[in-house]
Amino acid sequence: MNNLWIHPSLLLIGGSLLLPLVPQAFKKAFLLAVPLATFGLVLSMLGQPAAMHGQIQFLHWTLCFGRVDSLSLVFAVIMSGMCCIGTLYGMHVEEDAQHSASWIYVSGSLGAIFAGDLLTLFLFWELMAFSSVFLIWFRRRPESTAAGFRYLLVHVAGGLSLLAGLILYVHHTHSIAFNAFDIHNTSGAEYLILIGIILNAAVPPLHAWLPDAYPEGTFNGSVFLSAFTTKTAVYALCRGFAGMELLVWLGVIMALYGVVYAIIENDIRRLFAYHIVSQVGYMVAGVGIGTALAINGACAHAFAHILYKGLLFMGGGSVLFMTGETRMSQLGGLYKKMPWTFLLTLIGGLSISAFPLFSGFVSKSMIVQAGFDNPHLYWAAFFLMLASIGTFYCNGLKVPYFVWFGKDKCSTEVRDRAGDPPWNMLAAMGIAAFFCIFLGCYTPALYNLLPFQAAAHAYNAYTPFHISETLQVLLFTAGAFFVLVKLKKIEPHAGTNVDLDWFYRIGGRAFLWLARKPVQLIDTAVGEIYRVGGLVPLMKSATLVGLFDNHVIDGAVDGLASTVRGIGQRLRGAQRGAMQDNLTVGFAIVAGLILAFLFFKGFSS
Amino acid sequence: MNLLSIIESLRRNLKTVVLGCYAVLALVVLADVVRALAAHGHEAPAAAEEQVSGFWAALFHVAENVPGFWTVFGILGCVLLVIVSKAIVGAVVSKPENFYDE
Repeated sequence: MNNLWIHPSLLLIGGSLLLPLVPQAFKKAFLLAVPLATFGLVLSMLGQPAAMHGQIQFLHWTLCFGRVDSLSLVFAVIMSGMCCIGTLYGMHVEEDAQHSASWIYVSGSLGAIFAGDLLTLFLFWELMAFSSVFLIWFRRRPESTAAGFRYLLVHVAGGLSLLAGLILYVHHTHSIAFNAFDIHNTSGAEYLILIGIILNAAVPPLHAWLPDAYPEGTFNGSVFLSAFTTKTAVYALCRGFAGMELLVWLGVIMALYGVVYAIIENDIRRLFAYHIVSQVGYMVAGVGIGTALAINGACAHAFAHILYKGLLFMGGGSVLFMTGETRMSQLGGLYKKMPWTFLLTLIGGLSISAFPLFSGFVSKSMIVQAGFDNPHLYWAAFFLMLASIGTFYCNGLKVPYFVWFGKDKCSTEVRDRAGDPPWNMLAAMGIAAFFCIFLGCYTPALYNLLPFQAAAHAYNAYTPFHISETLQVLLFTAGAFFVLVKLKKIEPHAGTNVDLDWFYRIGGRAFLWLARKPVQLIDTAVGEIYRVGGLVPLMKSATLVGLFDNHVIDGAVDGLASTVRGIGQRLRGAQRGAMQDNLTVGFAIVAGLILAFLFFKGFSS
Repeated sequence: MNLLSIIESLRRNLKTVVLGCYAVLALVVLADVVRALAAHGHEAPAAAEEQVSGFWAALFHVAENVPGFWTVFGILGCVLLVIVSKAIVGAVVSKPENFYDE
C-alpha cells in the first residue's frame, strides 16, 4: 500500500461534479469539506520523500501526473490552502456552477504543478484557462462577457505557443519530461515554451489580459483568479528556466510597469491587478537571478503573495459586494460603515509592502538580497527597491486612504448599502490576515517549506540593516504621500488607462469593420455575378429539364425523392441548432472518460 | 472591542497622532545612525571582496555606509514615481472612462 497516491485534483474535480447533487442542507458543509480534504491530502505529502507518482505509459512516452518534491509541494500547499479560504469567502453564493468552476480551476493549477512531463502540464494548463474564464463570465455584465472572451483568446494563443514549443522540443530531444531546460543553449522550442509560460505570468508585453480581465470577475471569482494562473506560471519558470538572465530584465520591467500603472489607476480591483504584475515581477526576477537564495525567494514570495493578494482582492471584493462600486473617485469615508474590512485590507496592504512583522518582509527581501549579493545585479536590486516604494504607496496608503478616509464622494446609494460583509467573508479575510502576520513573525513556518533548505536556514530577514532600511523607505514614503495629499496632487479621478490590450481591442474592431464593409461588398458583388451569370441560365435549363421530368421520370423517382428529403431534414436539424448541444455532450463524455481513467489509474499505480 | 471607536478617537486626536508620527520618523533616522556606527567595520568588507566600479557599485557603497540613505531614497523615489506615472505616463495613456464603449 506504500504506493497509493491520490491526485489532489481528483478530489476537487469529483467534488465539483457531485456538488449539484448534494442536498441543500449539507451544501455548506460539503463546500468546506472538499477543499479542506484537498488541503489535508497535500499536507500529508509533506513528510514523504520526493517521488514520481501516477506514471502512465502513453504511446512512446511516460506521462507523470504526480511529481512530488519540495518545489512542487511548496506551491501545492499554498494553492490548496487558498482554495479553502476562497471557497469560504464565497460560501454564500448559491450558484453551484461558480464553485465548480473555481474548484476545476484550482485542480488545473494543482495538476500543472504536480505534472512531471510537458504534455500533462499542457493539459492542466488549458484546463485552468477554460475553467477560470467562467469566473469572469458569471458576473454577467456585458463588459465581463467581452473581457472573458478577450481573456480566453489571449490564453488560447499562449497555450498554442506552449504546445508548438512542446512538439518541437519533444521532436529534438525525444524526451517529454519537464525538467530544467538547457538555458545556455536555447532554441526556438524553448523560447516558444517560455512565451507560453510568461504569458500566464503576465510579463509585459504579454500582460494586458490580466488587468483587463481580473477586475471584471465576480467578487469572489477574482480572489481565485488573483492566486492561481500567475503563480502556476512562476512555478513553471522555477522548474524550467532558473538562472535565465533575460528573466531578470523582464522581472524588473514588470515590477516597475505594474507600479506605474497602479499609481494612475482609479478602480481598486484594477489597481490590485496591476500589483499582481508588479509582484510577480519580483518572482520572475528571482527566477532569473537563479541562485539558491533567489529561487527560495521566488517560491517564498509566491507563497506569501497568494495570501496577501487574496486578502486584498477579498477586501476589494467586499467593497464591490456591499456597495456595488470600486472606483476610488466614487468612494471615500467608508471607515464608519466598514471598519473591519478596512483593518483587514490594511493588513494585506502592509504585507504586500513588506512591512516588518508582515509576510512580504520575510519573502521579498530574499530576492532583493540575492540581487545585492551579485555586483552585476546591483541595478536590478535598486530598481526592485524603487518598485517597493510604489507598492506601499498604492496598497498601503492610497487604497486605504481614498476608500475608507479622504473626502466622502459616495453616492447616497453606495453610502446606504455600505457595511461590513457577511460573517463568512470576514472570516476568510481574518484567516488570510492571520497567516500574513504569522508568516512574518514566525519565519520557520515558511522557510522550512522552501526547496533549498541550506540557503533557507542561512538566511535571516531580521537583520538590523534590513529592518532599518525597510522602515526608512516605507515610513518616508508615507510621509511623502501625506504631503502630496495635502497639496492635492494625487486625488484619484475617473478615467480609463489605455494599456497594450488597446491593440487587440481596437484591432478586433478593425477586423469587424473589414468583415462588415469590404468583405460584404465583395460578397454582394459575387452574389450578383452568380445571379446574372449562373442562376438565370440555370433556371432556363431547369425549366427544360422540368418538362422532361414531369412527363417521363415522375412516377419512377417520386418515392426515392421523398426519402432523400426526409433524411436531409433530419441532417439539417443536427447541423444548426443542435450544434452546441452536441459539442457539450461530446465534451462531457470525453471529460468523464478521462476522469474515470485517471481515477482508476490513481488507485492502481 | 469596538474598532470604530478606536478609529474615531484617533481621528479626534489627529494632532497628537501626527506628532507621534513625526517622532517615529525622527526615531527611525536616529536608529539608523546608531546602527551604522555600531556596524562599522562589520558589513563593509563583504562588499569589498569583488572590486567593481561604475554608478551602481558607487550607489551600493553609499547605501551600505551612509546612514539615512534609505530615507532620502524613500522620499525621492516616491516623488519620482508619482511624477513619472502621473505627468508622463498618465498624460499619454489616460483616456475618458467610456473610451472603449462603442
